[in-house]
Amino acid sequence: MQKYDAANDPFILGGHTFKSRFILGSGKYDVNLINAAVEDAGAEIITLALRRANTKDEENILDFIPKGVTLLPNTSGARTAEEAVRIAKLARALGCGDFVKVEIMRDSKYLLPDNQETIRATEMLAKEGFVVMPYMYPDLYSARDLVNAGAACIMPLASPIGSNKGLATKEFIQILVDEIDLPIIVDAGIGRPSQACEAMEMGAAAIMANTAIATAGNIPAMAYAFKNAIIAGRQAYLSGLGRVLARGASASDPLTGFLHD
Amino acid sequence: MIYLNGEKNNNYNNSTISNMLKEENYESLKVVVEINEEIIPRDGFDTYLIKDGDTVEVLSFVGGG
Amino acid sequence: MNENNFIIDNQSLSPEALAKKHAIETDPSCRTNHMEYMEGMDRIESDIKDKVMKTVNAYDYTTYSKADVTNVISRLKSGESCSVEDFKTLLSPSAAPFLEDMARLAQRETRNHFGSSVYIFTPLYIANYCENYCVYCGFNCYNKINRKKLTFEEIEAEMAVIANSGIEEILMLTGESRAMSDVKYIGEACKLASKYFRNVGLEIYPVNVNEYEYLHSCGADYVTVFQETYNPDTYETLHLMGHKRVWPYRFEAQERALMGGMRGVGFSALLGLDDFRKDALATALHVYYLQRKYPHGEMSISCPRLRPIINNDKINPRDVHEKELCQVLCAYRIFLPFANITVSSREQASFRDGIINICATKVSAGVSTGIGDHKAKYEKNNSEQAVNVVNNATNDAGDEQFEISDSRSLDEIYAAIKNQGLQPVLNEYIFV
Repeated sequence: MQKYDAANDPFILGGHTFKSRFILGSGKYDVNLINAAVEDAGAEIITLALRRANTKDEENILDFIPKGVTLLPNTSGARTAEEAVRIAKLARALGCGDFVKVEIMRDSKYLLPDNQETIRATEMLAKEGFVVMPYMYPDLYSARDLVNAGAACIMPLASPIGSNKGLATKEFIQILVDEIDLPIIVDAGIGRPSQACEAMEMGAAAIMANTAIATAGNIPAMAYAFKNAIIAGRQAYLSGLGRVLARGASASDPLTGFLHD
Repeated sequence: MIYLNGEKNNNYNNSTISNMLKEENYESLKVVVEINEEIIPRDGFDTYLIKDGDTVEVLSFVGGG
Repeated sequence: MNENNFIIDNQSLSPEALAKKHAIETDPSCRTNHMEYMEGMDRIESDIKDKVMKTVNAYDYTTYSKADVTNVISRLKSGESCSVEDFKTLLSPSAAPFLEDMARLAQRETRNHFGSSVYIFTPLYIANYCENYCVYCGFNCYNKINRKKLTFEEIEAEMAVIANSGIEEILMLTGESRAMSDVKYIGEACKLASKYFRNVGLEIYPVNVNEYEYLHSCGADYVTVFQETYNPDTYETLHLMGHKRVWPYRFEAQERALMGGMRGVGFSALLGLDDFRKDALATALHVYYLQRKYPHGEMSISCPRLRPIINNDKINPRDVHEKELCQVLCAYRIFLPFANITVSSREQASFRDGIINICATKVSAGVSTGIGDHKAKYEKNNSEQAVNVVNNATNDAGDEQFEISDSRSLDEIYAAIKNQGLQPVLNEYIFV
């Protein structure tokens, strides 16, 4: 039996090496969630948003995040590339490194990312030296443009954010996995460990989730389940999937009967 | 008069940023300050004087994404 | 008949020329460095060579078992797409017993991507002068053959004959001689071809980006360059002299053509020169990586096997029999469902008829690999008594590059395609 060892399968992103292929979104967070994500799901990257500061009396999310975890500020709230750049620079000034997740939405109902603005922002941020992780709607042309713009990975959505509906865009994510040379990180919509596992089997490099764990009955147990599902999917992908038995047989004249010598 | 996080404020003309943060009860190590859309580096908090008419934003991380 | 002996002597050479020929053949130190670009050759920024050769060099097809093959075939049948690793498995000797399964998978991909269309074109050789010494090729500069370069009047006369037969897509070829068939000459021929045909392709010596741009402006939109073999060491021993000797410049021809604005590019290894499984892998990966870098480009693959040439009738495709060729073509189709696959008249009629039902999407018709002999050959086809007159009638023609196996006319090919319930397509293309 071969045990999965993340040390032999490093996840490299923007020149940094990670052991975990789970990224925690912190939109719905509390201490319990962050502890569970780090301790039970092994998360090494946690996203953050930037907002007008609250005063000291209120809790600050940075107080909950253990040292050693990579902070991944996002540009949520941005509606244009320029706004995203502004937010990214502010986040960097807070001293959390060069990672930024580009998230640009101009639709408050479905919260779908605007690929065009995202491409523009990615190009501007890559030129500023950021490690750019663009959240996008899985479209091959946009993904190629993001590669050319200098993205460090591609983060297609699986289904609408917060919906827990799973891999609604499966066929299109598969195309990105097949065609794009950067890591594909499936973001948004993953609702169950089985869906995370399936995305990893398809060749996704990592999974990002928040709502699925934050809204679970037992948060630490669900975090642990996600961790195992992601490892299982990764190991299956690396192993090469087994055969699929087809039902029935198709008998007809041979196609290759004409061959000589 | 200045704008502080979108609200009118008359208390900080010619005040340093450090002073403003202290008075407003912000933790200076956990915020980023932007004045008129220019980021002020943290080592400038003690010397930068807020002027009349400035738009001051004090931001910090929250959960999100 | 197995190992090839390519080297033959040419008694009409002067003693000095003969001495030089022998030196080049026997003493590698008399040959230039085949990995070094010559003066005037574009050197483009590209990592595709390295990517392709890294995988090819690491490919050991003996490590794949029958179980590996059944695994891949079952997954492909269930609708999964074919990975590079899957493709390597399908090219392995262990896949040979599963040829019928592969043919069915290939047929499914062909029908999904091309429907039942089979495209028809004809090649037109306008010159057979060549500056290279490629030992297996009938045009090589040391082979004693009738050389000819058509004048523009002759080109136009040939085109009129071909167009009159109904052909709408033409592939123009020359020997690889910049001196005798310069870019300007080829460009003018493209302009003439645009008058007679809807779709003009070129198979000429590799040129620079700006020259491809120029040829595109003259009406050419497709460029085919055969790498012959992707193994640089073997390549070195077969292409002893001339510009063609430079392996990397040839490898990058398709990329330069796309950079020059061509719509499509064609690839091939000449199966039988080296390890055909490795050459097939290299060809497909060349297409695969170039398609990823230039997603708009149309890709097409050919699959020639070695054929006898004038003065050396012993040349043969060694271990690449029809079954192996069919395996390679099925694997190509499964791995690159979008690529056109051309099967030339080097193959016999029965093979071509069978393979278009599986994976080939393009065939030539009314083929001559000689220079300026279409009129005579086409008339021969139309006249029962004229069978033996051909050679006399074409005294003036340039000799052929290789012997063809399928000399059927457009009408015959058209009918053969229709007979199989497939749709012959003469053209569906617009030059933009």
